[in-house]
Amino acid sequence: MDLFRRMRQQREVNQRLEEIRPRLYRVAYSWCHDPHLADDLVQQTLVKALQNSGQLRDAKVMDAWMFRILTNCWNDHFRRQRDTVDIDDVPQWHERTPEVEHGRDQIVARVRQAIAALPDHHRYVITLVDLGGLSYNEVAEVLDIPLGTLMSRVSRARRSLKESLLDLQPETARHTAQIRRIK
Amino acid sequence: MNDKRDDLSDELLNAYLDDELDADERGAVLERLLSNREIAERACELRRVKDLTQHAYLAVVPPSHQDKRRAGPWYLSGALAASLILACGMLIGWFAHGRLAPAEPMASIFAPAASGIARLAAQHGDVRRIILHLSSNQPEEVDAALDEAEDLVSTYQRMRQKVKLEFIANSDGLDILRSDTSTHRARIEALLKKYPEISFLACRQTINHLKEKGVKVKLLPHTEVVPSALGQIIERLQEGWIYIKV
Repeated sequence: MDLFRRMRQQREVNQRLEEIRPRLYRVAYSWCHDPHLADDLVQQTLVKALQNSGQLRDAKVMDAWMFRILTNCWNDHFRRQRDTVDIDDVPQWHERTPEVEHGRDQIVARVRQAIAALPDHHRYVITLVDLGGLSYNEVAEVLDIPLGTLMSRVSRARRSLKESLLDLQPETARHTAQIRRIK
Repeated sequence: MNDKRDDLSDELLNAYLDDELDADERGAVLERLLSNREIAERACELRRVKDLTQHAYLAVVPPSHQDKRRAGPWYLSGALAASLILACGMLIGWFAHGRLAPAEPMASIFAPAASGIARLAAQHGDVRRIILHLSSNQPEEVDAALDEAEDLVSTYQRMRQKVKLEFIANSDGLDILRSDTSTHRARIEALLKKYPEISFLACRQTINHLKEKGVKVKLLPHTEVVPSALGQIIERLQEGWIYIKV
């Protein structure tokens, strides 16, 4: 019976990793805007998670634990190579499709540039919440900051983004704003 | 109005949008949202920022490591090879100690992930979904919107790529879908006949506003009605559709 229990737990671990990997990648990508670096960071994260899996005693905190490892990997990389992250040099899209000519990429690029322009401590909280799908408590734990500080940062980050993306607001929110004009 | 603004901080409003409040707090915020238009607008703007952020990275998925363009097979990369060696050691170690062995899934940990990504990629790649939004009845903008719709669908068809396009009209844009005011009836009927991939949607809220003003609204055949244009757009964005505002 113990064997069956172990197999079930291992299956659950597999499912959790499968579920979390895209979110790890999305957050890593939003920090570096480089697909290869994001992939490397996620692989490093998974390897370190496996190496230190004995430390994880409660599966409920696995998400926060994995994102904390990702944050450490990113910090390590950033310390090693401070000069590599330049949003202007990063290719934002890799496929030429009709929507390139029809504005979708422009919106995506605008939002990504706005995210990239945020101060680091604002970018981390907003991406961990919105892309990582972590709760406030989990993000506070990942970044090792008090909950009040986190809430303040979320608020300031969204305010900055709102100001940067003002002209992307729909008419109901901004009466004269439009996502895109076609003339 | 302004005296109430300070009562509901942005922190609390964001916590509400991020589903971080308990039932009582949510109820209190909801009550303020329903009674205070300014707060409701602030909430809408913040919600929009959250949606845009998520939408901007929706298509970002980890690469399938079957990709041969990389230097070599992904599973033989240094780090992962090391992890597999480590996995074997851990497997023995864990079982030796009679504890839960996290090592067994090592070899399979990445394989299911890759298959999951492949499924995601297939979902994104199968059909291009576009929602095109018109809120104006200016002839040049209407022409541009219809040209855009036809151009997008025909381009994708030439690329042998499946496509679905929803043309949603609200506010003054609804005029082109009304049988008594449409200046583009023939064009729309031709598009519907030629491209089954295009559907025309009318905003129920705009229709209701017109009815309140005593305007009798009759729509062109095959026009579908959705409860709210904005609601439809947000829903489609969350589902990964491409949004184009004309």
